[in-house]
Amino acid sequence: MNHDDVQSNKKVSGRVTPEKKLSDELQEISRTKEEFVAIASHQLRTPATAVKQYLGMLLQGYAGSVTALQMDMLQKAYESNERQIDIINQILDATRADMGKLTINKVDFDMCELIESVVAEQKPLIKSHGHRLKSEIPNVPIVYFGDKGYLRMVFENLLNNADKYTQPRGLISVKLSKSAGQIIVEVSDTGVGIAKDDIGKLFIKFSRIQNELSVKAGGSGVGLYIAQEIVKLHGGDIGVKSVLAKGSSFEVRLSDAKE
Amino acid sequence: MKVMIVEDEMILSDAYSQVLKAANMEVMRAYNGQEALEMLSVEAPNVVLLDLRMPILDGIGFLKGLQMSRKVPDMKVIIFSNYDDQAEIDEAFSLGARHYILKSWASPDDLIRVVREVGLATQTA
Repeated sequence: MNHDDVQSNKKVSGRVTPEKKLSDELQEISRTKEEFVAIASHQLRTPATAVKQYLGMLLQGYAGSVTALQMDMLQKAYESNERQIDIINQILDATRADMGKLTINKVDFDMCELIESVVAEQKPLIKSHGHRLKSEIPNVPIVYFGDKGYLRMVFENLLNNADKYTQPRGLISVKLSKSAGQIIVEVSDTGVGIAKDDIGKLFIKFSRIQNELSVKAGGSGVGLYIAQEIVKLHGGDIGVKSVLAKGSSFEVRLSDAKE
Repeated sequence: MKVMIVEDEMILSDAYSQVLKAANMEVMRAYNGQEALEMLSVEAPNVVLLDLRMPILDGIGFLKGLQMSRKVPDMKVIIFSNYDDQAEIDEAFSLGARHYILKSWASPDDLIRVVREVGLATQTA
């Protein structure tokens, strides 16, 4: 190899190939997105946190007693702020899921206890809409190795949707079962139902199926997307059956094998 | 119980101070990690409520400084942050933090309960 070849090789080694340039740019975009998520999570949550503390103090009588009317107004403001915090958290989780950065922390826990807890928590709101709530949960523990916090979010989301998309005095059912190596949580309702052509759109980010209750239902449009990502991270899936004007059934299927 | 609030956002520091005082706790306030370390050299609280992202010296910097100073061994530190970056939280725990709370999750009652639980927890060998 002569001097020119060496020089030529030096030039080739130092040149950035188009593929490397694209890879670097994509990594930079990913870093920027990640930094945005970190900053947005802090900047969006901070004012909502301050509102939560001050409204919480007023509600709990830290500034003296309040009239019934003031309590009602403060409670509505507090709940509205809580919804805002939930939406911020959901959008951030959806962004993390997109980037493959949603991390789950698995522990052994009793699935029966989790479902009972979710049902108990959602019961007052469901009952306030005049719905009947039925639950079928086994008497013996069903131990599952998973992220209890994130799975709680999944079941809360499904139950919340069942409540939102069912006209008053409907029936909402939750059933937990174990069969053939699978743990199955089924949330059913007698609500507005979903057209066959729309079922595929349910788990798409920011997709909202239009129906008579969708405007009132509100929400961020990412709840089911996040739910599916969480279940997929556990190696499971979510099945949907629905008939327009009759109701829907969402089935979360998880393998009971410890991985 | 004496609690040190280390928080750069004044509005949040004010709110937490009011909540903790209403629960009959004594409150010390620092606005960054550097100030908190300087205050600790004079007076030690029972619990530190520590924000992570602060100017001058952040929460991780404070924890490292606390470890190196050895002035207050086994200080009970609660990470209180609106950043839920898992790597950062893991690092804080590896540096001796006892508990993590996402600020936007905690109501005033939640804050008091966690501070009391951590503050009253006995040391294990």
